Amino acid sequence: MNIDANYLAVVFNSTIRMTTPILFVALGSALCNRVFIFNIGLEGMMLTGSFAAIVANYYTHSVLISILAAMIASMLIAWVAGIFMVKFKGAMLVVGVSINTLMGGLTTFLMQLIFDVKGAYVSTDLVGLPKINVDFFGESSILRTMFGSLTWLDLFAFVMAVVLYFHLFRTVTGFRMRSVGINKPAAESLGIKADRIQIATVVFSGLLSGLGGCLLSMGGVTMFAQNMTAGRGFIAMAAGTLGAANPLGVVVSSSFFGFAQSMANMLQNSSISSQLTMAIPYFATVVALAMFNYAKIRGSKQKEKQ
Amino acid sequence: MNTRTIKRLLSPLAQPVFAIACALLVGAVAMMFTGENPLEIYAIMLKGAFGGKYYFLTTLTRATPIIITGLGAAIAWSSNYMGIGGEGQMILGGFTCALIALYMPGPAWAKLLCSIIGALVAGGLYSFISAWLLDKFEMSLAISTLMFNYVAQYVTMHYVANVFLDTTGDGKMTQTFMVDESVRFPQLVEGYSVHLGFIIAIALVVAVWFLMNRTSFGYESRMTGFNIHFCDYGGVSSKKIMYGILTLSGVICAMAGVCEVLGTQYRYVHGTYVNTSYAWIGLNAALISNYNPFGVLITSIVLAGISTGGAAIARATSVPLEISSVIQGCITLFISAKIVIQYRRGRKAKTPPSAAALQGGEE
Repeated sequence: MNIDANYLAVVFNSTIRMTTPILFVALGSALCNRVFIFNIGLEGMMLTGSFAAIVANYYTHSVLISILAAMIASMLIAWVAGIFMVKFKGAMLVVGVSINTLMGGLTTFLMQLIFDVKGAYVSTDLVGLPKINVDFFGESSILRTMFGSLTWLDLFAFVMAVVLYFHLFRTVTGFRMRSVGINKPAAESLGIKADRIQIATVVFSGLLSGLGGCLLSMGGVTMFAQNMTAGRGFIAMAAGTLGAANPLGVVVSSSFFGFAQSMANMLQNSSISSQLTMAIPYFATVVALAMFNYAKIRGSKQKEKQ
Repeated sequence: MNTRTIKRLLSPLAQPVFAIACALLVGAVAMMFTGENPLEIYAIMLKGAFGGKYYFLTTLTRATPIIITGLGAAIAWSSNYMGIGGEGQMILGGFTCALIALYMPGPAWAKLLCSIIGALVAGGLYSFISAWLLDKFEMSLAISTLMFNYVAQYVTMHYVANVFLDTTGDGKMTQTFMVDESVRFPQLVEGYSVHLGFIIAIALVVAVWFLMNRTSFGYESRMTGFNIHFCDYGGVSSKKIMYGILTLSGVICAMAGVCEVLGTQYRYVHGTYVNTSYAWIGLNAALISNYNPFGVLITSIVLAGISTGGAAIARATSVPLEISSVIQGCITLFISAKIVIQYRRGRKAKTPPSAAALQGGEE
C-alpha cells in the first residue's frame, strides 16, 4: 500500500459516501435530542426508507418517486413512534426498540412477499440515484476521484445540515424547539404547543432517516438486503450526541464515523485487522463523549464556586 | 379469594393481554396479504411452538438465553437504569467462557468452574465500565452500552478470526474450536437439545425474585427506581446501588453466553448472538412482563415459541419467518402505551394506583 495524493483522494471520496447516509440520520437524532426525545427507533426508520425506496423503484423505475416513497414511509413510521412516545407517554427506549424489531421483521417479510427472494434483492431493472457529472473539473484526475460517483443527495445532506443550523438557532420555530427541550412545562406555560412540536420533530427525523436510508439503498449499488442498515442508525445516534446536537457539530462527528468506516473498508486487504478498526468509531464515541461531559461537569462546578 | 384479590392479581395482566391481542391482529392483517388464512397459520404456529415433545423442548432451548438476558435487563430497568448492553455482555461472556474451557489445563470440573466464573467476571466488569461512565461522566447508559455492544462484537471477532480460529472446518464460519465433551452441559432429555442451562435459568428466576423482593438490596434498588432523590434522602447510597445493579445485570447476561457456549453450540461462533437477537428479545420479555422475574420466565417462553412457531409456518406455508419479529415488535409497542392504565386511572381516580401500575408508569 503506497500512500500518495491519489490514495488520499480515494479515501476522501469513500469517506463522503460513507458519511452522508449517517449524516442524514444523525441530523434527525440531533433534532430529537433538542426537543428531549431519545429516538432509538431511527435505525428502524432508516431501514424503512431503504426498503420503501427500492419498492417504489421496482414498480415505477423513477428516482424521484423512490425518494418520495422513502421519505413518506419513514415519516409514517416516525409518526407512529411519535404518537406512542408523546401522546401515549410510552417510554422512549421501549418504543424505539419496538420500532426496530417491528421494521426489521416487516421489511424482510414484505421483501419476500413482493420480490419473492430471501436475503437480498438486486436487479438490473432498478435505477440508481443519478451521479453528479464531474466533467467540469477537466483533466484533473485528483479532483475527479475526490468528487466522482457522488449523488446530488450526498450534497443535499450537507446543505441540510446548514439549513437546520440556521433553523435551530436563527428562527422562531427553532427557538421554540430548543425551549421545549430545555424545559417542557416552562415552554408550555408560555403557550408553546410542546407535544405538537415534539411529534413534528420525530416525524421530521423520520423524513431525514428516510433520505439516509434511500441513499444507502440507491447511492452505491442499488439493492435492498435484509437488515442492511446494520447499526448505522445507532451510529448516527452516537454522532448526534457527539455533535452536541448542533447540526454543524454533527457534520464533523458523522464525518468521523464515515472516515472510520471507510478506513475499515480500505484496511480489509492490509495487515492491520479490519475488525479492530471497525471497533474504533464506537470506542471513540465513548471516549469523546466522556471528555465532552467531563469538561461540562467541571465547567458547572467552577460556576458553583463563583 | 374474594373479587378484590382476583382483581389485584389480574390487573397487571390487562395491559399485556391487550397488547398481545393487538399484535396478533396486526400479524393477522400481514398474513392476509400472503393470501393465507390467519387462523390456520396461528394454529400451525401454536403447534410448531408447543405441540409435541420435540417442538416444546426446542422452544425451551431457545427460551433459555432469552430468560437469562431478560432477567439481566429486568434487574437494571426496574431500578430505572436503562442499559441495552445485554448483547455485548452476552458476547463477552460466551467468548471468555469458550476460551477458558478450551485452553485451560486441568481436570474437567476445574475447567468448567473457571470458565463460568471467568465469563461472569468478564460480563460484570464490562457492565461496570458503563456504570462508572454514568457515575463519573454522566454518560447516557443507553449510548455507552449500545456502543460497547459493537466494541465487544468486533474485538471478539478480531480474536476469533485471527488468533483462535477453528481451521479444521470449511472456514466459512468465524468460530473457535469445540470445547471438550467433559465440560459440556448435559442434555435434560436424551436426544433433545434442551440442556442444564434451562434449569440454571429457572434457578436464576427464583434467585432474582428473592433478591428483588425479599432482601434489603432489592428493596433499595427498587426505591432508586421510584425516586432517586428520596432514596438519597433516606440514607441509601444510590451510587452503590447503581454499581451493584449494573454489575449484577452484566453478570447475569454473561451467563446467557455461557449457556449458549456450553449448552447449545459447544463453541463460540461469531455473530450468532447478534443474528438471533437473543438479548433484544430478552429485553422485550422484561418490558412485557413489567420486570417481574416469573413474568420474564413465562414471556420468554412465549416469545421463544413465537420464534420457533414462526420457523414452523415458514416451512409449511408461504408466510415468511419474519412474521414473528413483526408480532413481537407490535407487542412491545402496544405494551409501551399507557392506554389501559390511563383508562383505569381515569375511571377510579380516587383509589391510589397499584405498585404494578406505578412501575408501568415510570419513564
